[in-house]
Amino acid sequence: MRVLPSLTRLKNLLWIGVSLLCFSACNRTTTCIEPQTVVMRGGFYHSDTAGKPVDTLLQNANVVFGGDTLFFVNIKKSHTFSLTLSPLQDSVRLFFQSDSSDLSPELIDTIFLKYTRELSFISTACGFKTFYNLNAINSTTHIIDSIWIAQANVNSTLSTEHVKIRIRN
Amino acid sequence: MKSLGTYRFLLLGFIFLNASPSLYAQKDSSFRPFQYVRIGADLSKPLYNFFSPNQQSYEFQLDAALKKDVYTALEMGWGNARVNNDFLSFKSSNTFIRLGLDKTFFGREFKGDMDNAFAGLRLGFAPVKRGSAAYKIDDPVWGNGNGIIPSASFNAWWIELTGGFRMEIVKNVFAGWNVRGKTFLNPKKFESLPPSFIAGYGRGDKNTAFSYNFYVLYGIGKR
Repeated sequence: MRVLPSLTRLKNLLWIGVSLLCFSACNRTTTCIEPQTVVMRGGFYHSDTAGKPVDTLLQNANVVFGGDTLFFVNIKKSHTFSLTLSPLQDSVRLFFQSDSSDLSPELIDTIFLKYTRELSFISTACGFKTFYNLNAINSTTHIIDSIWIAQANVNSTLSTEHVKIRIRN
Repeated sequence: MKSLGTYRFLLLGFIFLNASPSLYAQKDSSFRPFQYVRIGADLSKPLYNFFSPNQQSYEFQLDAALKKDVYTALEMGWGNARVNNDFLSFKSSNTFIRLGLDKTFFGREFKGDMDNAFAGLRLGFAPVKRGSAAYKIDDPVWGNGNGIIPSASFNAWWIELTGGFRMEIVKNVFAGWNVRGKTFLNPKKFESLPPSFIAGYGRGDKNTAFSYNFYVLYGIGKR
């Protein structure tokens, strides 16, 4: 005799199915929680007696940067700084002010940085961010002795120092 | 990278399809392959479509017994998706086809009994069209950037494991749900700008996806 499934079995089947449907329907994220910008990091050094670069704590310096509006990073008792590069052009000009309270031109250096840009997909909620590949860096030499690229790829990797700046002793 | 997940999927599928059919209760010498065909639709998709206005999909299934405990399954459908937020805006659409085998777990309690649980393996293919995408990058320091990514067409390949139930609710009408776990075979195609949703697969920005179906099928032929 043909036995069709009992009502209880069908109910169980239905409830398991509905639970799974609800669970699978929740599996979507539409809010962007990841930043669209990446940060370039730099470090300040001076030469020891053997000429090797050693960390230098800056007492109160500024790095000034930006587009239509200028921004600055204040470096107080630190030897590192971080800032964003422009996703709109292939180069930026930064200003290093060795003493934030003194605007004398001989205490300010201009840093010129050239790079290429690459779009990197984040997610459908966040869109894209721009990664950079540093090509060249140079500066005036009022306070800065030399400047070089330590890591050319500026991407989402944390705690990488991309640029090293040696200060005159 | 050919992911470890792909190999895991294949291994699990191999184990499922080679499991011994020891749960069979009756011998049925009158069995012939492809005598009884079931065709149906996934009723969960219209419900998803109602609650997710940014994605639409429709799925249909056809299956037929190849052996007493192994069914061939052909599934196809179509769908589209739309991304429209502050940072990204584009549309995509695709059709898809999945081919594979299902292995049932239980024997027939009586002649013609087709209520069963199953596990199966599928190979999925979808030709995907993605329209041009407008993006915006917020940058409070240097100014906001925006641009257009040109449209693109590409093929998606994936394998999936599935498992579920089918029960005959009235004569020749079957209902049942199944779950699916899937992984791309060509994930590199989806790194630059994947569709938010690929009908038949799921989230295009994930290398592994899970989905759910609730099929109602109608059977035709001799059992």
